Amino acid sequence: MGLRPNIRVLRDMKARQGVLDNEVTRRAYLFVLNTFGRYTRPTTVKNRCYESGRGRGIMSEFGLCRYQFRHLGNTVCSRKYSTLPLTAMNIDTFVITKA
Amino acid sequence: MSFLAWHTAELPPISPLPSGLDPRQLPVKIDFLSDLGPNPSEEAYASALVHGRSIHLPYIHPRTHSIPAGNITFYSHHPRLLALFTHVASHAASSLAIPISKVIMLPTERSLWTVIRAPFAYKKSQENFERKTHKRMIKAWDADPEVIDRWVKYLEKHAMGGVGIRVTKWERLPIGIGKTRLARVKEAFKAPIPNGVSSVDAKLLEVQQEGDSDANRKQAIQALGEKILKEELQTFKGSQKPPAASLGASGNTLATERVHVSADKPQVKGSPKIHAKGNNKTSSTSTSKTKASPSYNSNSSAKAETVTPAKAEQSTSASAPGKT
Repeated sequence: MGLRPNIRVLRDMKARQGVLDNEVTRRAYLFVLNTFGRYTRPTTVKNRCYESGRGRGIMSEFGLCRYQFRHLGNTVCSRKYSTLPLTAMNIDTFVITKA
Repeated sequence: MSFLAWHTAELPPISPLPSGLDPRQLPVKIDFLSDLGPNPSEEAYASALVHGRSIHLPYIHPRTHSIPAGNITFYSHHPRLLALFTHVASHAASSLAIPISKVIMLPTERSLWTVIRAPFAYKKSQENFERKTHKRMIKAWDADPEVIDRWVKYLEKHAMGGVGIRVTKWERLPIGIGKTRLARVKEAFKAPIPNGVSSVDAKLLEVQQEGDSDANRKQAIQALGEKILKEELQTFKGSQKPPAASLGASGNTLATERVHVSADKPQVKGSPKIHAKGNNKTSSTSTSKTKASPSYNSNSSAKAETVTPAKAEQSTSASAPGKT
């Protein structure tokens, strides 16, 4: 009824015009995308623990789940557990400590 | 000094000097390098005979102008490695006569992880782990950028496992660099253009000659889209859907398709009328109007059309009870 339509009405008009104009190109893009298979989508990638294969509780920095990380911190990275002497070759393993 | 004492305890005693050497010509034997005085010369520092020579700090060259030339930051999880490597780096800089600072200790960064102890459930019992990153820095002044590059290259060649290096360098441009650069750019603009081609046309030619330009891509996509539409319409012909007209530039076929699907959208319904009405209206007004405005005008007109019958209906309905 208003002589000057609502701004939202104007936006909707613009949207409808845009859909009308771009439907063809949009269909083309979607067709191209659907020709790719399932394992091309980055969303199919999932971090998993490389030791146990657990899908949850993964810390990306170590590639391990929380239980395996704890095991690492208490055994491999612990000077008390390791019987070998500290040398330049194995110094990089002793990075994480119990806080 | 405790560092020196620790070393002297382990080292064997110094053997006596061989005969035939004049003691007055020999370098000065001192206990500590600090005994040389506040600002020793490099010659005095280098020739001083002091026990545990390689462990001591290098000779620190005095700064000529205190102009920062660069910083090197060292990162490691093990402070012992840092102590060794910073020692090497400072001695290397001293050999290259770069005025450096003493090794600066930056605050240690600590990253913490809290992890549930059990493999399943039991959230209330957790364990904390940490990883410390120790940092040291050496600042350098006054040296030429080439000398700093040489120093950094030496460190990179003899890099230590477990120690990371970050180099920050400053280079200086001569005074008046802005003027010279502007002059060069102006000269480039005044350069002669190829025969028979204006600057704008030349750019367009370059763009068209590229095989992978945006325009070409757009055209390819448009062609693909039309091809897909044709195929879909052919499949529709097999089913019970009505046949559609050929594709036009304005896309009127899409509008007509939608009319069959949902008939309650006034704008799409009256689309042929809208274009005509819009044209009539804009012919009187200025020609510089955008695409949106004719649709606005036409939509208002369409609304007026829809509104008036409703009003008529209302009037009739109002009159009806009035009558009765």
